[in-house]
Amino acid sequence: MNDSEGSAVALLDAPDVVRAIESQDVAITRDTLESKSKYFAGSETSEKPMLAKLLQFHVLAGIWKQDTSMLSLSSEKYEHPAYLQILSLGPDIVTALLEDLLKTHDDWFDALSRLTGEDPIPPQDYGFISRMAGHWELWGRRKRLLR
Amino acid sequence: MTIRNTSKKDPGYNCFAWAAGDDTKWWEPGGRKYWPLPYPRKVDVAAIEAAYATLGYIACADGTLEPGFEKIAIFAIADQPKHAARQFQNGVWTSKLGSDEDIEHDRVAEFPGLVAIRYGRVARFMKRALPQGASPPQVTPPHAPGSAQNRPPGSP
Repeated sequence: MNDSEGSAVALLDAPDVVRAIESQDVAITRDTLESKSKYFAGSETSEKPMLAKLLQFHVLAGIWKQDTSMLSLSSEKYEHPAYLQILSLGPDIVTALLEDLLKTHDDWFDALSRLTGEDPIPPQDYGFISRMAGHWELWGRRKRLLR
Repeated sequence: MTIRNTSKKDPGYNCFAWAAGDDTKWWEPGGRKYWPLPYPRKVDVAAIEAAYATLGYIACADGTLEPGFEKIAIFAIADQPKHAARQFQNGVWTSKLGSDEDIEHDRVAEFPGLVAIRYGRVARFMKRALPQGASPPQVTPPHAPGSAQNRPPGSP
């Protein structure tokens, strides 16, 4: 087992991670993570760090949502340490952000803009969360990041 | 304080929208969100007050029930706005908790525990006269997100 594979397995087994994954606010189940782990285990070495990032994203996203769902201003949500850690994962997680946005309508708009350098939302749709998500969905499809 | 959940979780709108009677969008003075005025340079209680003034609200002394008036309360910590609530005509208040649920609460000044830590205290009360003959809901009816009910006349 190389380092990246080892870190992914360690992530899966860490008790606090399992707890976060099993909490209601985490958008991905342990089963899904394990199946992804098996998929990546048989793939190229270069994809294994990606698995670790994906796992980190889902765990951090769960923590962020749980801690900030009651906050009234997105600008405060964006200051949470878990959110800043998510940004530090870089553009590799953009597809995961898009998928979670479309599934939950949680506020990934700022993260998507920061990680892609793009802003597909016209000002007249600012605040209309469904429409904003729709603009990012179209962008994701154009970029072939979403099927 | 008696608190009752009155809706499901909905990230489509927040407390500042809900206090304005709008359950169709997220109100925030910045960050690609809806705001009825140009985004202010400083996000403070005065900026929130200015937004509600566009709907006809004026500052008032307290949250005491006044027949014929609709009131809102703006919560803040050190002049940083954290929350807003709206009063029904029976004196009960309604709040949207971030991207979570709507609640009803019988008092406005005493949120318990974590909620109080997050939202602080009421920094400003505002009121506006209800249109004559208007009969706003006494309690929050079950509503679908995006419905127009509770939206004040002339609101976006």
